[in-house]
Amino acid sequence: MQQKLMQPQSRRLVIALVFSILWTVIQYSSGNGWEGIYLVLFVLATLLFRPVVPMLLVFFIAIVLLFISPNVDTLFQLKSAYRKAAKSPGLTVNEIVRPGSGKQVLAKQVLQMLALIEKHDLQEYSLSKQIRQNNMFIQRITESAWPIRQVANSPYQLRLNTEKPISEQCQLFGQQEDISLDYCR
Amino acid sequence: MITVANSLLILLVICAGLAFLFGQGWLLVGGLLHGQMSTQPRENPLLIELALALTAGLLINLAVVLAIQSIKPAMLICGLLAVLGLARFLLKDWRDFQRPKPAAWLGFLMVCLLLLIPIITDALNDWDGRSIWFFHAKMIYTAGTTGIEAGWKDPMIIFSHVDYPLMESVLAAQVATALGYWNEYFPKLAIFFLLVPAMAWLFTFARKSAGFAFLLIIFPFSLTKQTWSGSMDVCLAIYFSLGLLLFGRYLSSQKAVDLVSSLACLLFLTVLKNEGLLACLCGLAVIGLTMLIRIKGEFFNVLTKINWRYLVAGLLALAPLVLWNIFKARWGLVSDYHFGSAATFERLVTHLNEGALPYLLQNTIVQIKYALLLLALIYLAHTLSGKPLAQAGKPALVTAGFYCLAMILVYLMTPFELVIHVGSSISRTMLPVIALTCVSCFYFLESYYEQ
Repeated sequence: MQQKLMQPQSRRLVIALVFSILWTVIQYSSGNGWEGIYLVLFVLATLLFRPVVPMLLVFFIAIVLLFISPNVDTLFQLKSAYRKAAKSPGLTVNEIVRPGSGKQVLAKQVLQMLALIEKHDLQEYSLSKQIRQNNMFIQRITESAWPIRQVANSPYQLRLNTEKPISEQCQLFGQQEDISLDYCR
Repeated sequence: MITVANSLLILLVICAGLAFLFGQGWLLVGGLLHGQMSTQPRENPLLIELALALTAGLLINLAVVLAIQSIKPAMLICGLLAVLGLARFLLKDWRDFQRPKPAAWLGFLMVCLLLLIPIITDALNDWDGRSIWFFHAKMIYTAGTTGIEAGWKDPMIIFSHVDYPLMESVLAAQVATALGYWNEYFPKLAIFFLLVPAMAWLFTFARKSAGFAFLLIIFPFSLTKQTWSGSMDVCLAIYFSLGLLLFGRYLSSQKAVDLVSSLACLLFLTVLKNEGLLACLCGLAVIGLTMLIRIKGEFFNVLTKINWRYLVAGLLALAPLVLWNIFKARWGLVSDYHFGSAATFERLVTHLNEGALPYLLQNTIVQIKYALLLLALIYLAHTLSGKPLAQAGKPALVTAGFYCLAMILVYLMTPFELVIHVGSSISRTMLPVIALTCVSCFYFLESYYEQ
């Protein structure tokens, strides 16, 4: 009877041992020395300080939550968000409610493209070869300009100032610091 | 003065939005739970029924919008349903609850407020949020419809995964429609509306224990900044793990409301992301297996005795998924994974031959490392002290295993460059595995300190 009662416990001990060894090997081979011996340290601590194992468990869990999980990073990001809001709460509230607000997160060139589209009240636009090589530009201008759509053969073409117009028949329609808008018949 | 007016506007939109969703949900939940499931009134805390009603409201709202497609008429109909639901609640059902626990409610409100500030003050910047969920919302808002006129077939927006479910996008479009304009802040209230029911469910576990403190730290802090950035991966992880958290409580409480809540969370996953269907199936499979093992021969007897109203509610919960899939098929919107074709199996074999599996396993372990470490610590503590592991924690662990394996399989069948695909997504796709493992840790911790 005692032997039968021991079996699940022995099985769990074996599983725990195998997992700890595997963990140590994997973490060491990945260059994470401390994380590799963490479980070994816990086992040693529980064997040495048996009466306070519940407190030890809390301590070791706390170390994981503080130093290995993303908790602290998230808390810092949360703190940063609160600081930004608290700096000028009135401005923040008004900015939240203002139509069209929030575009400052876009890249400078995308803001310039948007400005040209809005200034000339375009209903469609196309992008030059160099702009199209930058996926981030394509995606950002597509979603920030919407419902003004990108149309492949639109005569209104946005290009970088470092690029030449696609043909001699293109006329400069508008310009910003880095971006030009051509009208190409 | 303007700042005060704008602050009041924000508060009004939040309260109106929550009432809008709660009212719609209460039409279904109130009818099901009051008089049907509870033979004794005052059995369930209001917090758990609030969570159920809000989740049901989100599903009903989405189903109505998808069915009607035009946003404004759909909002009017949903508004009418909400008024009816609120009237029923205020006139009939509000007395039928346990006395509220002030500490749980205070904690719930504080966490909601904690999340609200970064959600609404941080402009949309994260790629997933800008280019998928809220871009779809902008498309729906500017067209005034979820139909083909929104621009789903535009060849220039292929990067935006137009086949993705519309839950967050429709909510954000409705906020913009109610205000009459778009910006990069206000529509993010959709994230808040999605997180409120989850936080309500979380606080039904509130008590003075190391386990609950552990739960509070995990949700939402261990799931990174993506909680408020607009990405749906965190929502998926939270609801997936809540489903198994509630099921774990059902195993000990045997209260039907816990099982219903668990199933509601899992069905809700199907309208959050495409992986939600996989997650729902994993969760349901584990729940079914667990019930089969526990009840054994009585399992099928129990199935046949389920009140037909719950089956109808369950089918209604799937309505948004069914409707969206019908429209996708009609408009030819397909996933860029192209699963189901012969090429899928060829890609699987190719990746296995190239030695992709060890690479995937290594990356997976790196992502879920701290959850595994927590589990190992708690398991070791149990083993060294001879205490048994809580049964309530095991289904979540098994589900985490199933889902992890399923996601590795998905990566092995990817049509994209594997290294790029893994590098750009694994930190998000493994969040449910982390969250589920932490749910197991919660139950094991609770049982360790109680024994």
